[in-house]
Amino acid sequence: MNYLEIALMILQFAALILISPLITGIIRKIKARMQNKVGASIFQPYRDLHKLLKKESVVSENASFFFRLVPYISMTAMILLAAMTPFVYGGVIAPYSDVIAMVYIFTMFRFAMIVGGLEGGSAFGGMGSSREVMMSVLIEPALLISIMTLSAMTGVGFNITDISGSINAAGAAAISPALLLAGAAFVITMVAENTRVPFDNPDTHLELTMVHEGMLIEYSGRGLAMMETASMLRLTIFMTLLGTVFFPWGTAMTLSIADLALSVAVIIVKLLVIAFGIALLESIIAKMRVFRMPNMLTASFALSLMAMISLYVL
Amino acid sequence: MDIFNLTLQNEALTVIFFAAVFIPALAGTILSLMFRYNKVANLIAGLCITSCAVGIAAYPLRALGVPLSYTFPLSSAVGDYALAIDQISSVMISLSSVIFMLIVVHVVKSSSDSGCRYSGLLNVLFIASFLCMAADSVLVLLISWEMITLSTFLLAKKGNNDRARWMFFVIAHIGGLMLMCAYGYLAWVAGTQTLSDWNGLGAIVGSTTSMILVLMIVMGFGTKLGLLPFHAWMPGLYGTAPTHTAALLSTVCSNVAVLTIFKSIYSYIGVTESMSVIAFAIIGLAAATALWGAMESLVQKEPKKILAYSSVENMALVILCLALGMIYINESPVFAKLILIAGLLHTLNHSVFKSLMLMTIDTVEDCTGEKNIGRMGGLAKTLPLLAVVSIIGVFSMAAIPPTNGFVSEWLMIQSIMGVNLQSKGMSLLIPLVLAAVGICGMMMAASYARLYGFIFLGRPRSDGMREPRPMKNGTLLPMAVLAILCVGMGFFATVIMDVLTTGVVSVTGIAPSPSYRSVMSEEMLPLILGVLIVITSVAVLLVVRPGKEREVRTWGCGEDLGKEMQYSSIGFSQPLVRVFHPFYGDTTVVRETKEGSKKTVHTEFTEPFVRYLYMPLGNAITAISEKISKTQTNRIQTYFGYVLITLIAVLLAVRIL
Repeated sequence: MNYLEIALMILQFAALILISPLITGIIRKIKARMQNKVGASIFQPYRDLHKLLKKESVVSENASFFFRLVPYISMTAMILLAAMTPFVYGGVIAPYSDVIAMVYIFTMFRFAMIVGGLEGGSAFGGMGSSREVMMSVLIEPALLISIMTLSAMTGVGFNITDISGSINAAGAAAISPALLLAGAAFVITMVAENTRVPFDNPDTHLELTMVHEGMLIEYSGRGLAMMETASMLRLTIFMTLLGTVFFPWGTAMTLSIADLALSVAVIIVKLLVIAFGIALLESIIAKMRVFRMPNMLTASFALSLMAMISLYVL
Repeated sequence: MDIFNLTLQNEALTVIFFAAVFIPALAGTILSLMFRYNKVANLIAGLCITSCAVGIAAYPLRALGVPLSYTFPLSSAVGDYALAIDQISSVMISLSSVIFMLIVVHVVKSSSDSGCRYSGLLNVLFIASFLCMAADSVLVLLISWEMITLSTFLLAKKGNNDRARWMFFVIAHIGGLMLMCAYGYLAWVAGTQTLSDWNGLGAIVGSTTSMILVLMIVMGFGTKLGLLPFHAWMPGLYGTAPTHTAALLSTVCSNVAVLTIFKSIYSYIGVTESMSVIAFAIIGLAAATALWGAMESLVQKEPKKILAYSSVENMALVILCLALGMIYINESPVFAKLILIAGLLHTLNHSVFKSLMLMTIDTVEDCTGEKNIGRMGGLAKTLPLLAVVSIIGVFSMAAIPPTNGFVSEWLMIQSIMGVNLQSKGMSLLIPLVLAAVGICGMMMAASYARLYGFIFLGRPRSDGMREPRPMKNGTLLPMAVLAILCVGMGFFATVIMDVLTTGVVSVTGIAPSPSYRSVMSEEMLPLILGVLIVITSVAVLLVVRPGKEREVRTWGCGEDLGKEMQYSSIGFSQPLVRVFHPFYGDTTVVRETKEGSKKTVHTEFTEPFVRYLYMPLGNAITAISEKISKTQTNRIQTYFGYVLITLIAVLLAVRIL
C-alpha cells in the first residue's frame, strides 16, 4: 500500500462524508421539481446543519446522560461505516471492513436511537421507537442476509473490498439470480432503513404516521445537527453500497488516472440514478399505513432469503 | 529427584486446592444447619465467598501444570467418586466461580435475600456446581446435578410461589431422568464409570443409539437451559424466586449444563458422520427455541421475566452452535472449532452480562419496591450510577460492539456463513439458521431497549419510582466489576478464544492447526474494532463539542404531562405483537366495571405452551388420578377383594405362561 493509495482512500472517505448533505439536497430538489415546485437549493442541507450547529440545545429535564451520548454514538457509527465503504476506489481506509461488523455497527446506531427515543418521556419518542423496532426486526435480518449472500456468492470471505472487487472482476458473469434478488432486497431495505416513503415520510414532524422523526423529536441544536448528519450519511452510505458492492462495475480497482476518472463519473451517475429513483418513488407513491409495512418488509426478507437459497439450489 | 519433588508438590497442591474449595463451603453448610441468627448469615456467606475465591484458581493452577485430579477415599458398590479438571472445565470453573462470588457478594450487600438458610444453600449450590463441572465419575456427575436441582429448588422459595417451584421441580426431574438413563447406559457400555476413560463410545453403540443418547443428553440438560417445550418453568420461577437464585440458575447452572453437553457429545459419545440427522433436529429445535424466547420476551411485564426469556434465547443459540459443530466436524473441522469456540464464548459472556442485569433488577426492585415494568421509569435521573452499569449490560446483551456479547454473535455468524459444506442439502441449512439468528438478534435488541428504556428513562410512572431509596452500600461493586468484564471481555476476546481453543481441541480431537484465526475475518480482531470505536468517538467529541444547553420540561402540547402520558411498555411492543400475533397467545379481555357504564379493555398474554401443552397434560393426569382414587374406598373389605383378584390373576398368568 503506497502513500498515493492511502491519500486516495482518505480523500474518498472525506468526500463520502462531505457530499452526504448534497445527496439529500439533490433528492429534495428532484422531488420538488417533479411536484412542480421550485424547491430549495441543493445546498440547503449544509445551511441547515450550519444553523443548527450554532444554536443552543434545549434538553428535556427528564433526559439522562444517555440522551446526550446518542448523537455521538450515531456519528461514530456512521463515520466508521463511511470509512469501510468503497466509494470511488475499491479499497477502504479502515484497517478492516468486515461486512458482519458493518451490520452490527448499524445495529449500534439503531439501538442507540431507539433507546434515545424513550428519553424525554413524551408520547412521540416512544411511538417512534416502538415503530422503529417493528420495522427493524424485519429489516435487519434482510440486510444481514442480502449482504451475506454476496459473501457466499463470491466466496472471498467477509471483507467488503474483496467482495466488491470479486464481483467487479467477474464482470457480467456475476449477474445471477442471487445477485439480482439480493439487490432487490437491499433496495427495499435501503428505502425502509432510511425511512423514506412509502415506509415513512422524512419531511414531516408531528404526524401520527412518523417513525424516524418521532425518535428525533427531543433533539435540538448540536444534537439535532449530528443526528441529521448521521441520517444523511446513512442514506449516502446505503446508496454507495448499492453502487459499489452490489453493482460495482466501473469502480476503479487500480490507481490509473483513466480508471479513477471513469470511476468518478460512474459513481456520480449511479448516485444520481438512485437519487432519481428515490425521488420518483416518493412522488408517485403514498405513504403506507403502519400495519401495511410488515407486508413490504417481509417481502424484502423473503427476497433476501430466496437470494441465498438460490445460491445453493441453482 | 527434581521431577519427583515437582510431582509431589503438584499432588500436594491439588489436595490443598480441593480442600480449600470444599472445606469452607462445607463448614458454611453445617453452620447454616446449626444456627438461625442473622449475624451468622454473613459468616456463612463469607465462607461461600472464600470457596469461590479458591475456585477461581482452577484455571491458573491447571495452566501451571497442576494435574487437579483427585479420587475421594470413599467407594460405593458402583465405583469411585473421582474428580478431574481438564482444561475446558478449568476455564468454566474459574469464570463461574467469579460470577458466583460476585453474586454472593451482592446477596450479602443487598440483604434482600439474606438469612442463614439462604446463605447455607448457596454453599450447597456452589459445591454441587463445582462437583458437576469437575466430575470424573458418572456417580459424581449425576449426584451433583441432582444436588443443583434440589438446592435451586430450595433457594427459589420466596413467599407463596409453590406453583412455579413445583413446575421447575417436575420439569427438572424429567430432565434428570433422561440423563440418568443416558449416562447409565453409557456407563454400562463403557464398562467403567470413569468419565475420562469414555472416548468415542458412539462407535461401540452404533449410530442410532448414539443419536438417541445425544438427544437425551441435550434434552435432559435442556430442561434447565429452557429448550422448547421445557422452558415453561423459567418465566414463572424467575419472576417469583429471589433474584439471586434466578441469577445463579441462569449463569452458573447454565454453564454447568453447556459444559457437560459439550463434553458428552464431543468426547464421551463422539461425533460420527451418520449423526447429522440428530444434529439437524437439534438445530431446528434450538432455532425455534431462540425465536420463541425472543418473541415472548417482548411482551413480559416483569423485568425478571424478560431476562428469563432472554436466557432461553441465549442458551438456545449456544445449543445451536454445539449442534452445528456436529455437522461441521466432518466437513470442515476448522469451522467446527470456530463455532464451538463461539458457543462456549457465548456461554461465558452470557453468564457475565446476565448476572449483571439480574443484579441490576434486584437493586431496582429493592430501591423502589416495584416489580412491574409498566410502573417504572425515570430511574436514570435518580440512580445514575446504576443506569451506567445497566446500559453497559444492555449493550452487551444486545450485541452492540465493542462489548463481549457482540464478539460471540459475530463469531457465530462468521462460522455459519464462512463454512463451505459439501452437500447441497446441508448448505440449505445455512440461510435458514442465519435468518433465525438475525431475527432473534434484532428482537432481543428491541426487548433490551424496552427493558432499559422503561426502567431507567422517561418519567416515573409510579410514586415508588419518583423517590427511590438510595442503593445499599457496596451493592454497586459487584455490578461494576461485571460491567468492566463486559467491556474487557469484548476488547480482549481473542485471549479467551485462544484459551478456549486448547480446550476444544483436547475435547473434540480436532487437529490444532490450522488455527481458527485462519478462517476468521483475520484483520478485524475485536480489539481493533473496539479501539477504532473509541478513537472515532473521541474524535467526534473533539470536533463537535457539546454546546450550550438549556433544560426545560418536556413539551406536552401545552398541558402538564401526567405520569401516564407517555409511551407504555406494553404499547411499545404492541406493533410486533400484531405482526406476530398467533404466536403470542394474546387475548383481549373486555370487562364491565361495577357501575356498568364503563368498560375496561386489556390484553392478556398466556404462554401458549402452558395453555396448550402443560395445562391439558396436567388436567389429564389429574383426571386419571381422580378416576384411580375412586378405587381407594378406605374399607378393608375392598382391599381384601383387590388382594384376592390380584392373586387369582397372578396365578392364572403363571399357569398360562
